[in-house]
Amino acid sequence: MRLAAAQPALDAFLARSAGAQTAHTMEARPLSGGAIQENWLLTVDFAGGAQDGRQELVLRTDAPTAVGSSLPRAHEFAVQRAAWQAGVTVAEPLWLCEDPAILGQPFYVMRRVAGEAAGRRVVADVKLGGDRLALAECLGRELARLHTITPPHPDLSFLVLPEPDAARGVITTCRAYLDALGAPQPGLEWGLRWCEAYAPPPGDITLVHQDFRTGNYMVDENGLTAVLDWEFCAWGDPMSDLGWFCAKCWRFGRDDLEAGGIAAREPFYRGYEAESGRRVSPKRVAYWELLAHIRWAVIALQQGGRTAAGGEASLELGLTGRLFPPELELAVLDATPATRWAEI
Amino acid sequence: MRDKPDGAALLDLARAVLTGDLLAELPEAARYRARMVANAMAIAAREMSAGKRTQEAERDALAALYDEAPTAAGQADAEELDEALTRLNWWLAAEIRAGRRDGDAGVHELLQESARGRLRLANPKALPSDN
Repeated sequence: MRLAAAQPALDAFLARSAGAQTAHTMEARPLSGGAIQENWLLTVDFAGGAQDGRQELVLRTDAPTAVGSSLPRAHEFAVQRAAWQAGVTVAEPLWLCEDPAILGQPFYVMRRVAGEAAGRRVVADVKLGGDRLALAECLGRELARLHTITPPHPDLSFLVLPEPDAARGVITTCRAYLDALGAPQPGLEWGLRWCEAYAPPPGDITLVHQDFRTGNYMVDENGLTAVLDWEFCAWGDPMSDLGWFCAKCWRFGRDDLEAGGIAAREPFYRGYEAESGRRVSPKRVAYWELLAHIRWAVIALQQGGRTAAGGEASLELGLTGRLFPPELELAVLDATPATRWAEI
Repeated sequence: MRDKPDGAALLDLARAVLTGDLLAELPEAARYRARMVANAMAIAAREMSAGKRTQEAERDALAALYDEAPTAAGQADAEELDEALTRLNWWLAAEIRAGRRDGDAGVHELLQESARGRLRLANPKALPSDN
């Protein structure tokens, strides 16, 4: 996307949205990260209105490679707003623009938050994120606040009404995605069938982030600065977010630190329980960790199919589709040996 | 391929140049992309030298499961192999989904071997060390 040509229209939109006399974009540069979305850092001078003065903003829109299971920007804006209102530490979402005349595609603008997100760096550099026990507890509390959002919710009516049985819902979705990919995956089918046979009884249904993990939150040297990437939000089993966070595939080389490669599970669970009043069920979380491996493998396969645009983003997606699925599949198979089917 | 060095060997040589002096001379901002390129080259080289063997092993394991005749080594061409693998894996995937292979230890072993074979091509560093 080229912002320069669109700048007069963008500046007019920003001024209008902020109730300012004028807005002038001084600088716009693409931010790295996000194979699905494209993020731009904007430095904008506002004259008048609530944002008067110089503001650092982030503009989020679709990347050329976008398709698949993620929410459209308008919906992501709505869930990020709902999370903001529920007290989750998130970049303040400011304005949504659905008028294609401005940039050619919908986008939204949020306040810029500083910090480091790259999973490998966050895990390896212990100067980041402040005290690691406090960070894990804080992330548990964040998740608990997100899980206070329950259906029905007036601003989230676009989210498909939840299946009472969230696990079966995820299994059905994964199977549909595998069918659409058009290449058989008997290893992942094995895992899905196990998950179907051993699905836990239906429990609470809340808003779930579905990609809450190390790599998708930002920290500075003091601690958490923002939870990122709201595009996979859905109604689901709150324990699924805890399982995704703790899954072995998201520990970035620190398998011993089971809460996202940053701490043991205990402080993470403690923060969650203290804030939510809901007990963490280790058995349920373990179930969702297995399903996390399957779901991530399916997403990686989908990304591997999105290489048509060419260029480095496509190379990254193509490599994702090749590097991760066999490893994830092997982990799923290791967790579901024949002996674990005995009771069926 | 009669002419030497063959494609896989050339890819390995090219990759060694890329990850050796060339990577060190690149600005920091370009290194991640260069590593992705090197990674893609490594997968392609491993596929060229061991891809067919891996596919044949998987095809033979599936054929044994369904009492089909195994392929004589080097007999099937690439297209036939692809077709057989797709057909047999579809069948197995459908059986598993329908619950007809629940807890089948032989199938579990076959699936592990297949995943290991594909992992050895795509990302051998991630292979569990006990295998």
